[in-house]
Amino acid sequence: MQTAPLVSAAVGKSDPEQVHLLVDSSLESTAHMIEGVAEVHTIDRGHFARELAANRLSSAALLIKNLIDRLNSVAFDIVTNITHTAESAYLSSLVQAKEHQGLIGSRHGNYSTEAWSRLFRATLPRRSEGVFHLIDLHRKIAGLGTPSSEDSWLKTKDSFVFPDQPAGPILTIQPGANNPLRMWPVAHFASVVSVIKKQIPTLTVALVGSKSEKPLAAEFLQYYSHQAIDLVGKTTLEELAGVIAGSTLVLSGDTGTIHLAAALQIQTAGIYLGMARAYDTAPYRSGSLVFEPGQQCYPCPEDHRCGHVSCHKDIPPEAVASALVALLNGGEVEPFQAKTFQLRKVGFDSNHCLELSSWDDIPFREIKRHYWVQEFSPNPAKSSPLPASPETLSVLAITANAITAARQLEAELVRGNSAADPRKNLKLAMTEMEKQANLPGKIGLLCHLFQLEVVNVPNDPLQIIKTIRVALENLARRLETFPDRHIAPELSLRRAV
Amino acid sequence: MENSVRSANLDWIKATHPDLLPIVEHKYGDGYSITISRSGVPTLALGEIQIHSAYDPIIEADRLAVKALESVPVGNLVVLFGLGMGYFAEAVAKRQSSQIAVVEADPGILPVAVEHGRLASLGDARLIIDSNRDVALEKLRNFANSVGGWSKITFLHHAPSVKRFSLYYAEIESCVKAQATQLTESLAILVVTPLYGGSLPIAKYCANAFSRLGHRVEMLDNSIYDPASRQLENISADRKHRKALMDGLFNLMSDSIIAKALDKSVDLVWLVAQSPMTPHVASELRKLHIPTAFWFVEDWQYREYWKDFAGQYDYFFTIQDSGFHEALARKGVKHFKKLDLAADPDVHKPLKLNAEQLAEFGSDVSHVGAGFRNRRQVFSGLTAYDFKLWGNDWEDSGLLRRHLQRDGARISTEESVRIFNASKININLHSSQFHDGVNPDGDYLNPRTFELAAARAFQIVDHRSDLPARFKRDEEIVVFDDARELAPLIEHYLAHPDERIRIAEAGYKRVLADHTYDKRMSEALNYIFAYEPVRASTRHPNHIDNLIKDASGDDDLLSLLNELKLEGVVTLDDIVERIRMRGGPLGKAEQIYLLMYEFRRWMAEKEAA
Repeated sequence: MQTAPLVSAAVGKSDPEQVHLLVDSSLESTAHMIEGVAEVHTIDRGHFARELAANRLSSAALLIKNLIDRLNSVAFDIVTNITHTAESAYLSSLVQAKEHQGLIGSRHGNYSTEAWSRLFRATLPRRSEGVFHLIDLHRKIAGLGTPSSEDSWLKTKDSFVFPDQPAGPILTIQPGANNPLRMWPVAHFASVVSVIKKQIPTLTVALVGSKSEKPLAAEFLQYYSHQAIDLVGKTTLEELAGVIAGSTLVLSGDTGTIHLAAALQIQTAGIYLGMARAYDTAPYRSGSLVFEPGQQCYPCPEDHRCGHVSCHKDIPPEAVASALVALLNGGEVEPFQAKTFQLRKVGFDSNHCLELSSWDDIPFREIKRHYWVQEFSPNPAKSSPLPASPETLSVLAITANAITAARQLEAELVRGNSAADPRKNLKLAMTEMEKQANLPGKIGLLCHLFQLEVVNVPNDPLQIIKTIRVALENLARRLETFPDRHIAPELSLRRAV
Repeated sequence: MENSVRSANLDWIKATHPDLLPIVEHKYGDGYSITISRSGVPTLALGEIQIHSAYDPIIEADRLAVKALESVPVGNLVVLFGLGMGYFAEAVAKRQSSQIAVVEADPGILPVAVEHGRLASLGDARLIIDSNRDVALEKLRNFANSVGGWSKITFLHHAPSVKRFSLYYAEIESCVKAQATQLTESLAILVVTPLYGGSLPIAKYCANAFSRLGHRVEMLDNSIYDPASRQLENISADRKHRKALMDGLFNLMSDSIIAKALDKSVDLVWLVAQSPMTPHVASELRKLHIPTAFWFVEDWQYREYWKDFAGQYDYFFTIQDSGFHEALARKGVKHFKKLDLAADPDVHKPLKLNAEQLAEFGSDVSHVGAGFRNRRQVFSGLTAYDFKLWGNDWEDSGLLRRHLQRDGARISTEESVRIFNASKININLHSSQFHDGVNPDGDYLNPRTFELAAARAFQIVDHRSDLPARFKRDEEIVVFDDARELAPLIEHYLAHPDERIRIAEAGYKRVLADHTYDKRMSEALNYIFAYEPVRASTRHPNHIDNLIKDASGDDDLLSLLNELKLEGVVTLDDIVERIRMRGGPLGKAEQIYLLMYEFRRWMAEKEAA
C-alpha cells in the first residue's frame, strides 16, 4: 500500500505503461490494485523457502533462474529496489537494465552506488533520529518526484454500499494490528466511538480487519452500546478498499488499512504505538492525524519484546474523540503536545518531504532534510530554499562559530603552538574547538547529526582539525541556499566561510 | 589320456564348484576349435583368434603371468578375466599365495576346459562363469567379501579371452573399482545411539572406530533424552498416556535422524540395538538414498523385537548366524552379515594402577556383571576364594552377598577396566536366565571376552561355539566347558602367575590384531559399500555431479558449477565460499547462489527471532 504513492510518482516521470512491480506472490492482488501498474511479476518466496529449507539446491536455483529469465524478457530501462534485504540486492542486479537504483549485490555483500540508499542504511541503526518518511526515502532512492496525482492512487471498484444509506459521517475502524505491541486496547476504540456517537448521533460505524481479528470485533461490540457494521474477516482487499472509499474517516493503528485509506485520499487518524513510528510510516497524505505516546522508551526498537506496554495507556480516548469530532464536523485540528502524548499532523515541507508538525523532539530535523536534499541533489540550485526558523539560525550560528574556531586552532597548530599539542585525537580536538567557540557539546552534535565525514582521520591534530573544518565548510555550503534576507547579517555563512 | 584329464577336471569341479556342473554337460561354445600345439598339449582357437599359443601354451602362460603379476601390489586380491583352457589361470594361481578368482563371460568355454584344460591344477581358485554380468558381479562380490573386501583388488586380463566380451569385463571392472575407491574416500556416517542400556557404549565405540578409520562421524546421542524419558515414566498413572508420551519421544529421536542426515549430507546411518528409528523415517531415508545399517548386538532368540523392524534396514548385522540369518531372510531382509562384538583399545586397555587402586579393585578372582541365574549358581561355588563380585541385580544371592562390592551398584566402564586390570583371574560367564552353569547352546562371544583380552587381563571364559575360531584355547584364552571345571582351573592359574601373564599377553595381541571395533566397522563398511553400486553420496541430490546434471538447461549455472571445481556432496556454503574467492564481474549464476545464501540467512534469522 505504501508503494502506491511511489508508483504514482513514477507514472508522473515516465510512460505509465512502463511501470512493473515485482512482489511476493502473496501480494499479487494488492499490487494489481495500484493505479498505474502495467504489470505485476511475482516471486513465490514461500516455495523458494521450502526448497532451501529442504536443501534442494538445484530446484531453488532453477526457481530463481526461471524468474529472472521471465523478467529479462521485458527489457527494463530502470530497476529500482525499494527493499533493503541482502537477497533483494542480488535479485535486483540479476534483472538486466540500463540503470539500477537501490541496493545491488556484489561478490562480498551488497551496496548501493546511490547516495540516498546509503543514507538510509547509515540511519537504520539509529531509526529514532531518522527525519525522512520511508516513502520519501524510496522516492529519493528511485529519483522520483512527487506523486503525479492528487486523486486516489488505487484502482477502486465500486464503493461498498452501506446499509440504510447513512446521512451522517461514516467512521471505519480497524481495532487490530499485526503485532500486539502496536495494538491500542479495544475498549479505548469503543470509548472513542461512544463519545463521538453522543455528539454526532448520525454517525455510522464500520469495523474492518482480518479473519483472525474477529474476537476483537466481538469485544468492541460488547463495549459499544450502539449499532456497528461488523465487516471484520468478511472483505477481500478489493472490498475493503470499497468500504474505505465510502468512509468519511478511518481510525486505526499503523495498519494496511490506514495506508489503504491514505492511498484512496481518505482522511485518517492513526494511533501509533510500540515500534510504529510516525516519522517512518505515517499515512502519506496531507492532513492525516497521528497520535503518539509520550513514553521515553517509545518507539520500541524493531523486534523488541516489551513486557510493560506502558505506551498503550498514554493516549486518552477522550482526546482522540474530540479531535475526531472536530474533523467530522469539518473543522481543522491543530497538532499539540500533551503531558502523556502528542498529536501530530502530516504535512509536506518545501522539498515535498513528509513533515510532522508537533513539538521539537528531533533537533534540526527540517534543516537536516534540507541538508541531505542539497547534498544529494544532482542540481542543487533548483532546490527550494528553506525558510529561516530559530532552529535554522541556531545551526547557522554553531556552524559559523565552529568554522572560525577550527581555523584559529589550525593556525595555532601550524604556528607550532605547544598548547595544541596534547590533542591527539578527535574527541580532544573537538572539545578544544568547542571551548574556543564557546559552544560546549554543540560541534560534536552537529557532526553527529549531519554524519559529517570526520571519522577515520589520521592521528594528527592538524589533520583532524582540517577534516572537521572541511566538513563544516561543506555543511555551510549546502546551507547557503538559505535566503540571506532571513538571516541576521552577523550569522551569514557566506561571510563566515 | 584325455579321459584322465576330463575325470581329474571333473572331480575338481565337483569338489569345488558343484554349482557349475550343469554347464559342464553343455556342448562346446560356437566356434571353438581344439588342436594340439607344437609342444604336445592341447591349444584353443576361436575363429581367427588364437586363445592359447599354437607352439607352447604353458610357457606362453608362464611368461604372461610373470609379466602381469609384476603390477600386482603385495597382499592384493587378484581377479583374472578370461578362463580359456586354464593355462593362464594356472600360471597365475601357482604364483599367488592368496586365493584368486577367475571371471568368464562365456559358459561355452567350460566344457572345453573340462575336456582338455588345466582346471585340476587351479587349486583353490574361484571360478565365476556367467553370461549375465550382474550375476557374475554378485558372485564376485561374495567372493571378495569372503576374502577381505574390495579395497585391494587387481584385475588381470587374459587378453585373447577378454577381447570378445570386452564390454562385459570393462563394466565389471569399473563397477568394482567404483566400489573399491569409495572406501578409500572418507564417508560421512551418522551414528544413532540408543537412549540407554548395554548397546549405548557400543554405539559410541562404533563412532570412535569410524572416526579412527578416517570417516566423518556425526553423532545423534539420544542418551541426552534418558532423564526426560524417566520423567515421562512418572508423569501419569495412565499407561496409555505414558505410552503416547514415550511414542512422542521415540518419534522425536527418530525424526532427528532425517534432520541430521540431511543437514550433514551423510552417506550412511549406523544404528545399534535399541537405537530409535520409526518405519516412516526408514522409508524416508530410503527415498533419500541414504542407506541404513543396524547392528543387532543382542541374542535374537531372547530379544525378539527385531522381528518388527528387521525389514526396514538396508543392512542388518548380527552377532549370531545359525538360524537367525534364515529368519532374517524370511522377513525379507536382503543384506545381513554376522559381525562379532569387539573391544575399543582406547577404552579397554592395560592400566598402571597404584596400590590404593589395586586394593580397591583387586582380588584373586572377580566377576563384573549382572546377577543372572547361571552366574548365581556357578559363583556360589567360589565363596572360598578371595572373590569380588561387581555389578547389579544380585539381590537375594545368599552367601554371595559377602562378595558383592558396593552393595550391587552399577559399575562404570572405566571402573570395569580397572577391575579387569587389578584381578588375578576374571571369570567371564556368559549370562543365561534359562540354564544352570554353562549354556550348552551358547554361540556368540559377549563384549566382555574381547574387553578383558584388550585390557591384557587374564580371563577364564565359558565355552561358546564361536570361541575356537576367535581365540586359541589355552594359548590365548582359558575355557571351561562345565561349571565343575572352574575351581580346578582357578586353583591352577592362581598357582601359576607366569602362565596367566603369558596367556593374557597372547590374548591381548590377538584382540588388537583381529577383534577391535576398527576391524568390525571396516568389515561392515566393506560389506555395505560392496552393495551400494555407486557411493551413496553420489546419489545425494546435492552431489556436484547431480547439481551439474540438473543445471544442464542453463549455460550460466552449468559453467559456474564446472568452474568451481567442487567435489562430492556440496553445500550452499561451499558454493558461496568459492564464489567469494573468485574475482571479476559477478555472473548471473553466481548471483543466483548468493541470493539463495542471503535468503537462507534471512530465513534463519527470522526463525531465531
